[in-house]
Amino acid sequence: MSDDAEEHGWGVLDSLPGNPLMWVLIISEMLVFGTFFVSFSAARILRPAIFFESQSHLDRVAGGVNTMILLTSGLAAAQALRARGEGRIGACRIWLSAAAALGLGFLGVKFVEYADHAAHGYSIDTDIFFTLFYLMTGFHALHVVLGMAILTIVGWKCSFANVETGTAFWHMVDLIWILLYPIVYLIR
Amino acid sequence: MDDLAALPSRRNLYGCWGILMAMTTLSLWVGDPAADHRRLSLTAITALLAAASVKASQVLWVFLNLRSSTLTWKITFLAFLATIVVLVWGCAAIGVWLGR
Repeated sequence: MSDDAEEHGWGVLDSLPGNPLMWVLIISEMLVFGTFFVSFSAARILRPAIFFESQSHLDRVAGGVNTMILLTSGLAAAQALRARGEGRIGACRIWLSAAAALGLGFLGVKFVEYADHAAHGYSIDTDIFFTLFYLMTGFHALHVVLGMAILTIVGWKCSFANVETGTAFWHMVDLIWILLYPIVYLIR
Repeated sequence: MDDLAALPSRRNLYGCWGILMAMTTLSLWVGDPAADHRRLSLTAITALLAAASVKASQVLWVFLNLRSSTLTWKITFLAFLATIVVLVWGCAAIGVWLGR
Protein backbone atom coordinates (compact mmCIF):
# COMPACT_ATOMS: atom_id res chain seq x y z
CA MET A 1 0.00 0.00 0.00
CA SER A 2 2.75 2.43 0.93
CA ASP A 3 4.77 1.38 -2.14
CA ASP A 4 1.72 2.01 -4.25
CA ALA A 5 1.28 5.42 -2.66
CA GLU A 6 4.94 6.26 -3.28
CA GLU A 7 4.70 5.23 -6.91
CA HIS A 8 1.42 6.94 -7.69
CA GLY A 9 1.22 9.89 -5.30
CA TRP A 10 2.16 12.66 -7.74
CA GLY A 11 -0.77 12.54 -10.13
CA VAL A 12 0.15 13.52 -13.69
CA LEU A 13 3.79 14.05 -12.65
CA ASP A 14 4.14 10.27 -12.15
CA SER A 15 4.33 9.79 -15.91
CA LEU A 16 7.56 11.85 -16.11
CA PRO A 17 10.87 9.95 -15.82
CA GLY A 18 12.68 10.24 -12.47
CA ASN A 19 11.81 12.29 -9.40
CA PRO A 20 8.61 14.36 -9.91
CA LEU A 21 9.93 17.15 -7.66
CA MET A 22 12.89 17.63 -9.99
CA TRP A 23 10.44 18.17 -12.86
CA VAL A 24 8.59 20.76 -10.77
CA LEU A 25 11.96 22.49 -10.33
CA ILE A 26 12.72 22.21 -14.08
CA ILE A 27 9.35 23.79 -14.95
CA SER A 28 9.93 26.54 -12.36
CA GLU A 29 13.42 27.30 -13.68
CA MET A 30 12.17 27.37 -17.26
CA LEU A 31 9.54 29.91 -16.16
CA VAL A 32 12.07 32.08 -14.30
CA PHE A 33 14.72 32.06 -17.04
CA GLY A 34 12.07 32.27 -19.78
CA THR A 35 10.89 35.51 -18.15
CA PHE A 36 14.50 36.71 -18.01
CA PHE A 37 15.03 35.96 -21.71
CA VAL A 38 11.86 37.69 -22.86
CA SER A 39 12.55 40.71 -20.58
CA PHE A 40 16.12 40.92 -21.91
CA SER A 41 14.81 40.80 -25.50
CA ALA A 42 12.19 43.46 -24.75
CA ALA A 43 14.81 45.70 -23.12
CA ARG A 44 16.88 45.39 -26.31
CA ILE A 45 13.98 46.97 -28.26
CA LEU A 46 13.87 49.90 -25.80
CA ARG A 47 17.65 50.52 -25.62
CA PRO A 48 19.04 49.25 -28.94
CA ALA A 49 22.16 51.43 -29.03
CA ILE A 50 23.27 50.52 -25.49
CA PHE A 51 22.70 46.81 -26.11
CA PHE A 52 24.58 46.91 -29.43
CA GLU A 53 27.58 48.75 -28.01
CA SER A 54 27.84 46.79 -24.73
CA GLN A 55 27.23 43.40 -26.34
CA SER A 56 30.18 43.96 -28.67
CA HIS A 57 32.47 43.64 -25.62
CA LEU A 58 31.38 40.05 -24.93
CA ASP A 59 33.63 37.19 -25.98
CA ARG A 60 31.28 35.21 -28.24
CA VAL A 61 33.83 32.47 -28.92
CA ALA A 62 34.37 31.94 -25.16
CA GLY A 63 30.60 31.63 -24.81
CA GLY A 64 30.56 29.03 -27.60
CA VAL A 65 33.42 27.09 -26.01
CA ASN A 66 31.51 27.15 -22.71
CA THR A 67 28.43 25.82 -24.49
CA MET A 68 30.43 22.88 -25.80
CA ILE A 69 31.97 22.25 -22.36
CA LEU A 70 28.57 22.21 -20.66
CA LEU A 71 26.96 20.01 -23.31
CA THR A 72 29.82 17.53 -23.05
CA SER A 73 29.36 17.49 -19.27
CA GLY A 74 25.69 16.68 -19.96
CA LEU A 75 26.80 13.66 -22.00
CA ALA A 76 29.03 12.55 -19.10
CA ALA A 77 26.10 12.91 -16.67
CA ALA A 78 23.83 10.85 -18.95
CA GLN A 79 26.56 8.18 -19.23
CA ALA A 80 26.81 8.15 -15.41
CA LEU A 81 23.11 7.33 -15.12
CA ARG A 82 23.39 4.61 -17.75
CA ALA A 83 26.43 3.12 -15.96
CA ARG A 84 24.46 3.13 -12.67
CA GLY A 85 21.54 1.42 -14.42
CA GLU A 86 23.98 -1.30 -15.54
CA GLY A 87 25.17 -1.69 -11.93
CA ARG A 88 28.65 -0.28 -12.70
CA ILE A 89 28.98 2.01 -9.70
CA GLY A 90 32.70 2.76 -10.25
CA ALA A 91 32.09 3.82 -13.84
CA CYS A 92 29.10 5.89 -12.69
CA ARG A 93 31.31 7.79 -10.24
CA ILE A 94 33.97 8.40 -12.88
CA TRP A 95 31.37 9.83 -15.28
CA LEU A 96 29.91 12.00 -12.50
CA SER A 97 33.40 13.27 -11.68
CA ALA A 98 33.98 14.06 -15.36
CA ALA A 99 30.69 16.00 -15.50
CA ALA A 100 31.61 17.99 -12.37
CA ALA A 101 35.16 18.64 -13.67
CA LEU A 102 33.73 20.01 -16.93
CA GLY A 103 31.42 22.17 -14.82
CA LEU A 104 34.53 23.53 -13.12
CA GLY A 105 36.01 24.21 -16.57
CA PHE A 106 32.86 26.14 -17.48
CA LEU A 107 33.22 28.26 -14.33
CA GLY A 108 36.92 28.82 -15.14
CA VAL A 109 36.08 30.26 -18.57
CA LYS A 110 33.31 32.34 -16.98
CA PHE A 111 35.75 33.67 -14.36
CA VAL A 112 38.24 34.72 -17.06
CA GLU A 113 35.41 36.41 -18.94
CA TYR A 114 34.22 38.30 -15.82
CA ALA A 115 37.81 39.29 -14.94
CA ASP A 116 38.30 40.69 -18.45
CA HIS A 117 35.11 42.74 -18.18
CA ALA A 118 36.14 44.01 -14.74
CA ALA A 119 39.58 44.97 -16.08
CA HIS A 120 37.88 47.08 -18.76
CA GLY A 121 35.54 48.70 -16.23
CA TYR A 122 32.32 46.88 -17.15
CA SER A 123 30.40 46.11 -13.98
CA ILE A 124 26.79 45.37 -13.05
CA ASP A 125 26.23 49.15 -12.74
CA THR A 126 27.62 50.07 -16.18
CA ASP A 127 24.32 49.99 -18.07
CA ILE A 128 21.09 48.01 -18.49
CA PHE A 129 22.82 45.46 -20.73
CA PHE A 130 25.55 44.61 -18.24
CA THR A 131 23.06 44.59 -15.34
CA LEU A 132 20.98 41.93 -17.11
CA PHE A 133 24.11 40.14 -18.37
CA TYR A 134 25.56 39.75 -14.87
CA LEU A 135 22.19 38.86 -13.33
CA MET A 136 21.41 36.12 -15.86
CA THR A 137 24.88 34.62 -16.29
CA GLY A 138 25.63 34.98 -12.56
CA PHE A 139 22.38 33.27 -11.57
CA HIS A 140 23.14 30.51 -14.07
CA ALA A 141 26.70 30.16 -12.71
CA LEU A 142 25.23 29.71 -9.22
CA HIS A 143 23.19 26.84 -10.61
CA VAL A 144 26.39 25.31 -12.02
CA VAL A 145 28.03 25.52 -8.57
CA LEU A 146 24.94 23.96 -6.96
CA GLY A 147 24.85 21.28 -9.68
CA MET A 148 28.49 20.36 -9.02
CA ALA A 149 27.69 19.99 -5.32
CA ILE A 150 24.69 17.79 -6.16
CA LEU A 151 26.77 15.62 -8.54
CA THR A 152 29.33 15.18 -5.76
CA ILE A 153 26.65 14.15 -3.25
CA VAL A 154 24.94 11.66 -5.59
CA GLY A 155 28.37 10.24 -6.45
CA TRP A 156 28.74 9.50 -2.74
CA LYS A 157 25.15 8.29 -2.13
CA CYS A 158 25.11 6.50 -5.45
CA SER A 159 21.62 4.92 -5.74
CA PHE A 160 19.94 4.89 -9.16
CA ALA A 161 17.21 7.28 -7.96
CA ASN A 162 19.77 9.74 -6.54
CA VAL A 163 21.88 9.72 -9.70
CA GLU A 164 18.77 10.15 -11.86
CA THR A 165 17.66 13.15 -9.79
CA GLY A 166 21.12 14.74 -9.63
CA THR A 167 21.81 14.37 -13.35
CA ALA A 168 18.33 15.77 -14.17
CA PHE A 169 19.32 18.96 -12.31
CA TRP A 170 22.54 19.09 -14.32
CA HIS A 171 20.67 18.70 -17.63
CA MET A 172 18.38 21.55 -16.58
CA VAL A 173 21.47 23.75 -16.15
CA ASP A 174 22.47 22.72 -19.72
CA LEU A 175 19.01 23.53 -21.00
CA ILE A 176 19.08 27.07 -19.62
CA TRP A 177 22.52 27.84 -21.05
CA ILE A 178 21.48 26.53 -24.49
CA LEU A 179 18.89 29.33 -24.67
CA LEU A 180 20.94 31.94 -22.82
CA TYR A 181 23.96 31.77 -25.14
CA PRO A 182 22.35 32.86 -28.44
CA ILE A 183 20.00 35.36 -26.77
CA VAL A 184 22.67 37.16 -24.74
CA TYR A 185 25.86 36.64 -26.79
CA LEU A 186 24.90 36.26 -30.42
CA ILE A 187 21.64 38.00 -31.36
CA ARG A 188 22.33 41.64 -32.20
CA MET B 1 16.94 -3.83 -15.41
CA ASP B 2 13.64 -1.97 -15.92
CA ASP B 3 15.52 1.24 -15.08
CA LEU B 4 18.12 0.44 -17.74
CA ALA B 5 15.57 -0.46 -20.41
CA ALA B 6 13.91 2.95 -20.02
CA LEU B 7 17.17 4.86 -20.52
CA PRO B 8 18.48 6.04 -23.90
CA SER B 9 21.11 3.77 -25.41
CA ARG B 10 24.78 4.78 -25.64
CA ARG B 11 24.31 5.24 -29.36
CA ASN B 12 21.42 7.64 -28.70
CA LEU B 13 23.49 9.58 -26.16
CA TYR B 14 26.47 10.01 -28.50
CA GLY B 15 24.13 10.81 -31.40
CA CYS B 16 22.45 13.50 -29.29
CA TRP B 17 25.83 14.94 -28.27
CA GLY B 18 26.88 15.02 -31.95
CA ILE B 19 23.75 16.99 -32.86
CA LEU B 20 24.37 19.40 -29.96
CA MET B 21 27.97 20.02 -31.04
CA ALA B 22 26.95 20.47 -34.68
CA MET B 23 24.21 22.97 -33.75
CA THR B 24 26.63 24.90 -31.52
CA THR B 25 29.17 25.08 -34.36
CA LEU B 26 26.41 26.26 -36.68
CA SER B 27 25.40 28.93 -34.14
CA LEU B 28 28.99 30.19 -33.92
CA TRP B 29 29.19 30.38 -37.71
CA VAL B 30 25.83 32.13 -38.13
CA GLY B 31 26.50 34.40 -35.12
CA ASP B 32 29.72 35.54 -36.80
CA PRO B 33 31.69 36.23 -33.59
CA ALA B 34 34.43 38.17 -35.39
CA ALA B 35 32.03 40.83 -36.70
CA ASP B 36 31.48 42.89 -33.54
CA HIS B 37 29.90 45.84 -35.28
CA ARG B 38 27.60 44.08 -37.70
CA ARG B 39 23.95 43.51 -36.90
CA LEU B 40 22.47 40.13 -37.77
CA SER B 41 19.68 39.76 -40.30
CA LEU B 42 16.32 38.36 -39.20
CA THR B 43 17.18 35.22 -41.18
CA ALA B 44 20.36 34.73 -39.13
CA ILE B 45 18.48 35.39 -35.87
CA THR B 46 15.84 32.86 -36.92
CA ALA B 47 18.56 30.30 -37.66
CA LEU B 48 20.18 30.90 -34.25
CA LEU B 49 16.90 30.42 -32.39
CA ALA B 50 16.03 27.37 -34.51
CA ALA B 51 19.41 25.80 -33.64
CA ALA B 52 18.83 26.58 -29.93
CA SER B 53 15.36 25.02 -30.15
CA VAL B 54 16.76 21.82 -31.69
CA LYS B 55 19.42 21.67 -28.94
CA ALA B 56 16.96 22.28 -26.10
CA SER B 57 14.57 19.66 -27.54
CA GLN B 58 17.43 17.14 -27.75
CA VAL B 59 18.39 17.73 -24.09
CA LEU B 60 14.76 17.33 -23.01
CA TRP B 61 14.16 14.33 -25.23
CA VAL B 62 17.36 12.31 -24.75
CA PHE B 63 19.35 13.54 -21.73
CA LEU B 64 16.26 14.20 -19.58
CA ASN B 65 14.56 11.18 -21.20
CA LEU B 66 11.27 12.97 -21.85
CA ARG B 67 10.75 10.56 -24.77
CA SER B 68 9.70 7.91 -22.23
CA SER B 69 6.92 10.14 -20.88
CA THR B 70 3.33 10.60 -22.07
CA LEU B 71 2.37 12.48 -25.24
CA THR B 72 0.73 15.20 -23.12
CA TRP B 73 3.98 15.97 -21.27
CA LYS B 74 5.99 15.88 -24.50
CA ILE B 75 3.63 18.39 -26.11
CA THR B 76 3.53 20.53 -22.94
CA PHE B 77 7.31 20.90 -22.70
CA LEU B 78 7.82 21.46 -26.42
CA ALA B 79 5.01 24.05 -26.43
CA PHE B 80 6.55 25.77 -23.40
CA LEU B 81 9.93 25.89 -25.12
CA ALA B 82 8.34 27.11 -28.37
CA THR B 83 6.53 29.90 -26.49
CA ILE B 84 9.79 31.26 -25.03
CA VAL B 85 11.58 31.05 -28.40
CA VAL B 86 8.71 32.66 -30.33
CA LEU B 87 8.49 35.56 -27.83
CA VAL B 88 12.26 36.17 -28.09
CA TRP B 89 12.05 35.94 -31.89
CA GLY B 90 9.11 38.38 -31.87
CA CYS B 91 11.13 40.93 -29.89
CA ALA B 92 14.06 40.51 -32.30
CA ALA B 93 11.73 40.90 -35.30
CA ILE B 94 10.30 44.12 -33.82
CA GLY B 95 13.86 45.37 -33.35
CA VAL B 96 14.67 44.65 -37.00
CA TRP B 97 11.42 46.23 -38.13
CA LEU B 98 12.12 49.40 -36.13
CA GLY B 99 15.59 49.53 -37.65
CA ARG B 100 17.01 49.21 -34.10
